[in-house]
Amino acid sequence: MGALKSVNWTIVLLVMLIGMIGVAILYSAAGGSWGPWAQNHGIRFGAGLIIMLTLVFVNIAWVYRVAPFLYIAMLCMILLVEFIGLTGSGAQRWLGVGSLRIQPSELMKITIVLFLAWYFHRLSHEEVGRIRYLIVPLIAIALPTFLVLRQPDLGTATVLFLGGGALFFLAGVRIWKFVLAGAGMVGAVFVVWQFHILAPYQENRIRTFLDPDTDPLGSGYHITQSKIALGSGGLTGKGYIQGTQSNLNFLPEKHTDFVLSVMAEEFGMLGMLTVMTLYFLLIFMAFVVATGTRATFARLIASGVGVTLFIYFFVNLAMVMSLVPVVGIPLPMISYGGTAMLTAMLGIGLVLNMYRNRGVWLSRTGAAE
Amino acid sequence: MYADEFTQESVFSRRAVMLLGAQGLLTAGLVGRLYYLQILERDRYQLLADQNRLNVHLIPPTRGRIFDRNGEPIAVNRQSYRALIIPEQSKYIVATLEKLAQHVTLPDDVLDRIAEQRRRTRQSFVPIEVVSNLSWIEVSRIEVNALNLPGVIIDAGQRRIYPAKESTAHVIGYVGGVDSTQIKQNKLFALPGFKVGKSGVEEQLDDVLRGSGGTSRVEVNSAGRIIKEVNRRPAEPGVNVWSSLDNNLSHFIYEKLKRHRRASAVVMNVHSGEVLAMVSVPSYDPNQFASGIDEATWKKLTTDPDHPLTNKAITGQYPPGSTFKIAVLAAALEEGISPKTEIVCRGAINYSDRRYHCWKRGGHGRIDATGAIRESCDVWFYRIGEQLGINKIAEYAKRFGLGTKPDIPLPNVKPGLIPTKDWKRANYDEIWYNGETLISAIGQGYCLATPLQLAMMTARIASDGMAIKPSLFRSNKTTVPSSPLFQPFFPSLGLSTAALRVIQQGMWEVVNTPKGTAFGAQSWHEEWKFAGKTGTSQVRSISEEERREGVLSNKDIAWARRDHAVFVGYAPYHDPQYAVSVLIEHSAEGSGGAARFARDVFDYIRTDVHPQILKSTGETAAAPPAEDGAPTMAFLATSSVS
Repeated sequence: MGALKSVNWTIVLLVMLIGMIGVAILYSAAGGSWGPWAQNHGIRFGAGLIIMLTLVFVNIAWVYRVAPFLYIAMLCMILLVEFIGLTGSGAQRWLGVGSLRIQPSELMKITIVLFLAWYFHRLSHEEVGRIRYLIVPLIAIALPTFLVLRQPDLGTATVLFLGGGALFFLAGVRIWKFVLAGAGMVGAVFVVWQFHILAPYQENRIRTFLDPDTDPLGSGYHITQSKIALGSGGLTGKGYIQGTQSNLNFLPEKHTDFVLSVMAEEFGMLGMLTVMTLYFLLIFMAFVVATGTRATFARLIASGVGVTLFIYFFVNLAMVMSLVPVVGIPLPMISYGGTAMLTAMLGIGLVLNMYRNRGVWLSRTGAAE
Repeated sequence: MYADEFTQESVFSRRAVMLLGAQGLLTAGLVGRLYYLQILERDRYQLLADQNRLNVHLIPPTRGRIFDRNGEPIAVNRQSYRALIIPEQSKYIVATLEKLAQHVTLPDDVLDRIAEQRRRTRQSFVPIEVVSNLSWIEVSRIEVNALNLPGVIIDAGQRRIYPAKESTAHVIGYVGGVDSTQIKQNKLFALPGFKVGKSGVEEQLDDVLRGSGGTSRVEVNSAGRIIKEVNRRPAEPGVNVWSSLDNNLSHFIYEKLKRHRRASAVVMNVHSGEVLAMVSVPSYDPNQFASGIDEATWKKLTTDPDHPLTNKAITGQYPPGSTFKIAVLAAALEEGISPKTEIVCRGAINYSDRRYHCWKRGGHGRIDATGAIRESCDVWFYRIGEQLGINKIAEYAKRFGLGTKPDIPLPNVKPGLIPTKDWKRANYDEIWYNGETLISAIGQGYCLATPLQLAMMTARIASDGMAIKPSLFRSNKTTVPSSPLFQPFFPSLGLSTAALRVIQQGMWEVVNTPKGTAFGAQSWHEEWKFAGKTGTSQVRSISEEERREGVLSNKDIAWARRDHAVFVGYAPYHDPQYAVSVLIEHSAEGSGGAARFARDVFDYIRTDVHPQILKSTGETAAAPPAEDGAPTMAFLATSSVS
């Protein structure tokens, strides 16, 4: 099998289209200028593309072996953020390395997929059905989720929690356990809320956390302006670099979380459907790759990356469309922001790697065959 | 291969499909939401987006100008310039202002004002006023040094100018800043520096003169900075008003009256009611208000005991004195008393235990109606008044416009007072004593009239009994009764011609016969002989006002005890055109002086006013010179401004 043929070019093409759309929107968000975002975004995207394509040719057995260590390393970095992290947007999320700012919680989204895939690969179907085998992965999800919530970063915590949960589901954890866990969580929330176990100020904090609309000049303003941008875009939009909401700065965070509002304003519903189709196809392809692989590890990684991308995609869009509270989830490869892009492209690199190694069988100890 | 791997694979495939399906459903939900926002709700959000980005700015209209009857300016607008500073374009505001101070004088509080403004708005692109009312030379000095004055800009506005100054101040009034209580009445009022009429015609016709504001829709960014103008609806300038006043005549009268401490005069056309001049002294310069009056000047104007801000021609109520005898005589003749009725005047009469004096100690002897007017015999009018009764006198006085508020668009127009029995009961809760009728019959006692009302009464006599009303607006109809185009302006009062002739004859004899009380004042121009009636109003009733004003010095008391001199008259006698009333408070020269004043006014009219009127009357009057696309000149006909 030649090196070129072993790459899934459909996925690469989708990624490139999405990245180019990202550059184009950021160019417009700056009022038709390469600075300050579009150029950087393009460079980062190019770097990400190289990393992604390099990842394709890494030995899968090696990936399998380093997966748990990567998880531990990333957990340590999140802990490090706790102590020496940089603060921005009211939360402590970043680690500064020279001029680089890295958000470890973002990278954790992929690392946790790696770890859970590694863990579940070692279990038989019987074992997956036993509760005691679920203790380690539950802790593996809970630890980073808890740390990220403390930053506070509800969005990333949600992605981690939902992503982990999806991996449990894909790994074959029995469905009744999900039902039970769901019921348990609802019950717990009910008890905590109903019997005022939390202090009043904590309850208030949660309330504003969940419903930022109560603060019309804060997050409420964001969401209102985003809806105006979307709605006024109509079917075909106002035209490239013609968005008034974006160019007159009514739209907040127009280069990061609300980058799709710019898209929706200038290209209308047709533009939005194009981006959504591309993104959904990418997610779909990850699942297609997953079902075509022999090793459980490969299957769980490809589908896990797909689910993670979908959570990004869904939460970001739902946020922009004012269906969920503003929780600060970017849309990787389109939103400006290096770590989220790197996370997504590392994940896609892994998917491509799994595609290349779709015929490889891995023993439960990690020996390739 | 492990034994259970097939199970694992099939479980995975099933769950992958389930998950993908769920994701598809959620995505479909997003598409639905998108459809709702972008297709169904599109118009609403389009509107909201426009409201976000578009700001409407008001453009102030140009205030309508006021011209005199010959098209000379009375109130016009002149470009005025002010210097503003844009904070964001001037790094070091204080340094820039120091440099600016080398070229123009800056107000002392400029730094405080800028600091205050900076506190109020964080938008550093909003200009702040530094200094206003710059001269053209100052403007050019700033423009030349523009490079050294970063952020300083010149803004051109308009400023009201009153070229006629004091002589028309009381009629035209002035403009000033909007009261804080009125700001909500009109969007324009909230504009910084917007001026509204504060007095006179400027106040009464403010709605007409103001015009309506234009709008400029501008696109702004979220910080409020203007990006570009989207569209503009120009302001509609206010209507220009063509007043009936004659600037030159007003000036002439003002210069003559100025010699007196307090006085006022009115000149009216006896057919159209057009007021050609209405002057009150002391006066003030309305330009002081237009450029922002300082506190000291304002205080001086408002506390001056001679009330320079008051228009005495319409607000001053004085006992009409003997000029009232015109109305009493009209009542007598209309009520069937013969003009031949002769009464012997011995200088005084006794009436119910009191003695009523004639002004002439020795008496007038035997005298008839015409003579009683000519010589102003008080006894004749005591007797006639006694016969008529106060209610009849009041009835005719009101026909001449006395005792009711004249219909003229000016503020603080006073009605005067003509007493009746009912009036006294209502106001004093006392019956009317017949002795009071006698006093009223010579225009003293309770009787009060304004100089405008006296001019109206005179015009009504001169026009052979037409119900002349005063107008401040130029008429475009002819005022010359001999012209074939002449049409009466007002209905008749219903007085008999015989009675009017007797009164007119009496008034003629006042000025033109040796026994007349104003004989010395007669005119020697045959065509411009005038008729009139002198009057003296006793200060007793007025002095109440004096007392309220506090202690007067000895010199003032001497002045304050003098009677007011009144004269009303009309000319030319054989073709009446103009009525004059003049009232000089505490005049040293008496009513003869007032009559001579009237003669000088008629003389001036003969040489400088009447020829103009003859030239323009009857033809479609030429509009005053239009500048900068001024709107159509409005003729405010007498009837439309009531």
